[in-house]
Amino acid sequence: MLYIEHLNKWYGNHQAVKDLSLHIPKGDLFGFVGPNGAGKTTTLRIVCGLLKESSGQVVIDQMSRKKDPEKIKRCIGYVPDFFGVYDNFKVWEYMEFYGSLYGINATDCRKLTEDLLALVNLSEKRDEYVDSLSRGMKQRLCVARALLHDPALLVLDEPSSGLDPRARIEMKELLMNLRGMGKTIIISSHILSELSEMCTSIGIMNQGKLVAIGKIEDILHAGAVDDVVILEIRKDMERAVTIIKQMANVDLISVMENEIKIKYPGEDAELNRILIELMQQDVMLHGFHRQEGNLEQMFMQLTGSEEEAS
Amino acid sequence: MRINPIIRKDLTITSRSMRYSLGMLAYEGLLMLVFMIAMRVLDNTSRYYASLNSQKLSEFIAMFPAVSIAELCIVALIIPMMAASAVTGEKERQTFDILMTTQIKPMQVVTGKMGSAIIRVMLYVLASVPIMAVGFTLGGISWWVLLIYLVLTLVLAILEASIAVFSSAVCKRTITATIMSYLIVFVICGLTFLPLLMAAIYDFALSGMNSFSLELGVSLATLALLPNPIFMFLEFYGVSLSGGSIFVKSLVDEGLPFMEIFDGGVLWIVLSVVIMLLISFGFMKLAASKIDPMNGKSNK
Ligand SMILES: Nc1ncnc2c1ncn2[C@@H]1O[C@H](COP(=O)(O)OP(=O)(O)O)[C@@H](O)[C@H]1O
Ligand SMILES: [Mg+2]
Repeated sequence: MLYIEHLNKWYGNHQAVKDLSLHIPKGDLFGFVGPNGAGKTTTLRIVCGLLKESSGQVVIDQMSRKKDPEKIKRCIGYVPDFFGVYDNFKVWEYMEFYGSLYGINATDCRKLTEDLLALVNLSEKRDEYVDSLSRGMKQRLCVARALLHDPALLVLDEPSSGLDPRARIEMKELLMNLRGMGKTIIISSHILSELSEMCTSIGIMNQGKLVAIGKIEDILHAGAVDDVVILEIRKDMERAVTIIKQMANVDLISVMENEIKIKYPGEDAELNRILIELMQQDVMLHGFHRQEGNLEQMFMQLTGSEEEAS
Repeated sequence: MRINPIIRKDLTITSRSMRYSLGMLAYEGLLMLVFMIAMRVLDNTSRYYASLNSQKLSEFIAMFPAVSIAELCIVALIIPMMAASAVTGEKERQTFDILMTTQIKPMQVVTGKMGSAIIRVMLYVLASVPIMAVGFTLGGISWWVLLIYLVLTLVLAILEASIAVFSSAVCKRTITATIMSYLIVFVICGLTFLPLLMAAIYDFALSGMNSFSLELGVSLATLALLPNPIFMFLEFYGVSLSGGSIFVKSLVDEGLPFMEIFDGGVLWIVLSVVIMLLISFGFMKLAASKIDPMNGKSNK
């Protein structure tokens, strides 16, 4: 669906996006995470054709901006991070205006407006002035507007920043709905937890680079947080520690009163071998568990802890 | 052909704004004032003699230039104010990005913005036609003069609107865009004199020689005035009210080479219109390429 290939963007001599490549398959809800200034907005603006890339290219459904500039615009619905509305303009007029910019005729547009306003739960605001709506409503209206031309790809830049908790939940429900309808969606955020619950896959960006990408579980696995096991031992702590220290391929992370935290590379068979070894040497192994995969921690690790993460 | 969506949107929005209604009120009031003063100046007694004395009646001809010149000045000042917010206004309101992701083409944004400014201004202009018509019904000017006047005003509006939209595409803020459009208009109206002035001084200084090439230089320098709306209207008033050119005629009488082709005044006006429209088109092209995000290295 969407391919970004070796994308670079320079602002003067500051490089905001560094050799970014990614592929988002059709129907994905892709989360783009990274601290402020990571280059998310820059990347999304290039995808939407609002900014010219320094090098690299964006391909959507086999169309590139150079070859099909008009068609590609029809494929994308964009909800910017900051946007305004016109004064003295009613909700339905707002929808009709943008509809006419896509060449949708008035009758079709009226029907579409009804449907989309219902979808974003703004039907009863049809005749109100756009600038009188609350921030969350404007945001949802903007999503409805971005859907007018039935784009295959919906791009939302920090859609829930500046919203109160209730509006956030409504926005999230709306996005889940759209995902259910089979839209491909890219959504950016600097808050990971916001995305981890709804996205099918995420990309973590830091200082212009994509530092991790894939399904959330895969990212956790790749980060090896997955391979940390905590062994609960009641007796014979010292002996257990010496045994483990002797083992190749196993790192001892920490030793507490009756817990040993170890890290081993790779497969579960490896873990079996460690456990069998311990038991054969009569270490009283009371139990063991995997360390909880912690995405936040992973995120902090990948983006550098000095950056704010939420 | 569908009407440009931007025109529809802008007209809907401005029609609801207080500023537009108040502007209309101020404009009508001002024209009214000019009208009253003109009446006064014409002759206190003309009103009484109007129906009896045809000589008095003809004095009402002056009502047309009086009111229309006042109107031209207002129009010339208003358009930059209306059109200079074309792009900057959308940017300041943060609606520009969304606009550019839709399928509208940069040139359509330019024509839409110009169109809405021109329509608003022509509404002002048309509203004042009845006042000017006094000069026609009573003074006996023929109807086509009014028609041509409206066409020339439209050309002026197009020129100024294209300049203002261009400024708006170049500048970051509406205020600077407004100032820049006034400056460009000033350059066109004020600085197009310079070549002629310089050529004339030069010619005068070397008048002893009085060579053909010097005079040719003066003639050519005159052509720099073609894009100048002031001279276009000067010639228009000359042709319509006194039956011939005012300004160019004086050069023809000087015996300058080639100037005699402008003798009747009409050719000057036609050429002037053509050149102004070409200049407008140039500004429109520049504006369109400036707002196209896929164009140039612009970072904003
Ligand atoms: N118009 C611009 N001119 C110069 N630098 C910019 C511009 N826009 C963004 N930047 C810089 O590019 C980097 C990435 O910004 P941005 O894409 O907005 O990040 P994010 O959306 O992830 O917070 C930042 O360091 C920012 O300062
Ligand atoms: Mg951003």
